[in-house]
Amino acid sequence: MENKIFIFDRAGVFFKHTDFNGFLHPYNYFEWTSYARESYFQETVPNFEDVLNRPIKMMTTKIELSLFVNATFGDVFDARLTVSKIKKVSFDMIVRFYNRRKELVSAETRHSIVFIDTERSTFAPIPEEMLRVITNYQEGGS
Amino acid sequence: MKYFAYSQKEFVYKYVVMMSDVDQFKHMSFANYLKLMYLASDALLSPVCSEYFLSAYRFQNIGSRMQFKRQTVAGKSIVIKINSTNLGDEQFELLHTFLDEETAELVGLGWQKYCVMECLSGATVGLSNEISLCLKPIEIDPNNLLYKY
Repeated sequence: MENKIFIFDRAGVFFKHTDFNGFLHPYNYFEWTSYARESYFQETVPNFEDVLNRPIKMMTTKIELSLFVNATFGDVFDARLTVSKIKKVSFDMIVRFYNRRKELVSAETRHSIVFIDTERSTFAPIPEEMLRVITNYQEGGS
Repeated sequence: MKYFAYSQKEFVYKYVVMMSDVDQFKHMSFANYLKLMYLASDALLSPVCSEYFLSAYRFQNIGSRMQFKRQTVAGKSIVIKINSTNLGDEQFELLHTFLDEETAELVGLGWQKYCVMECLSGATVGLSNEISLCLKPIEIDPNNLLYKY
């Protein structure tokens, strides 16, 4: 069975997203990555807000951006989210920004998430509800 | 304030975490650290960005990455030290070390790669003397790094 891709389609370039030369400032890909991630969990984990209220907290440990092609005002993206490297206490998320107007992938972010038990100050297993979801979005061979 | 025994020069940018930077979990959202990294880079490179430069050239960010070591809360003063490394003919890299100013604890490590492009043609050009003068004094040997960025 082919694994799923979550698509966040509400990222678009307005003037406030552009730099002095009229190109999309790369920072925006990081912000849209956080929106894509939160939308993903909100839409796929039924009790996501309950999960957030537990002492087990999700923490971003690293993030990387690769830029391929510049984007400009009016471009709109499908932020295509997948998951890789699922381990006991951590996993990676990959977001590829497909520019619908230019019909190509403009950029890609990869970030790692770890779970922390804030009461014991130790790493904690990925919450069961989230683990059930992310395995469906895992990229093959990673 | 000096945190290291050696006399490596660095560009320093300071920022106090504001209420608008933190989320409902009381910590600064990860995307805001990235914004801060770009702000600090802008501050470093601003002496190069004359009206003439900006009309003809632009800094093109090729890639960025960041590792998060400690979370920060509103009111915390963050010191961002920037060094340059791997200065090539047409590209350079910036290393950002985020520290809690009060405790000197490591908050995060950032890396960025840039080139300079002609606005009209989009072709990469060599680093000008002004850019070299900005980056050379804070250059660091990639083999002598305290952290893996």
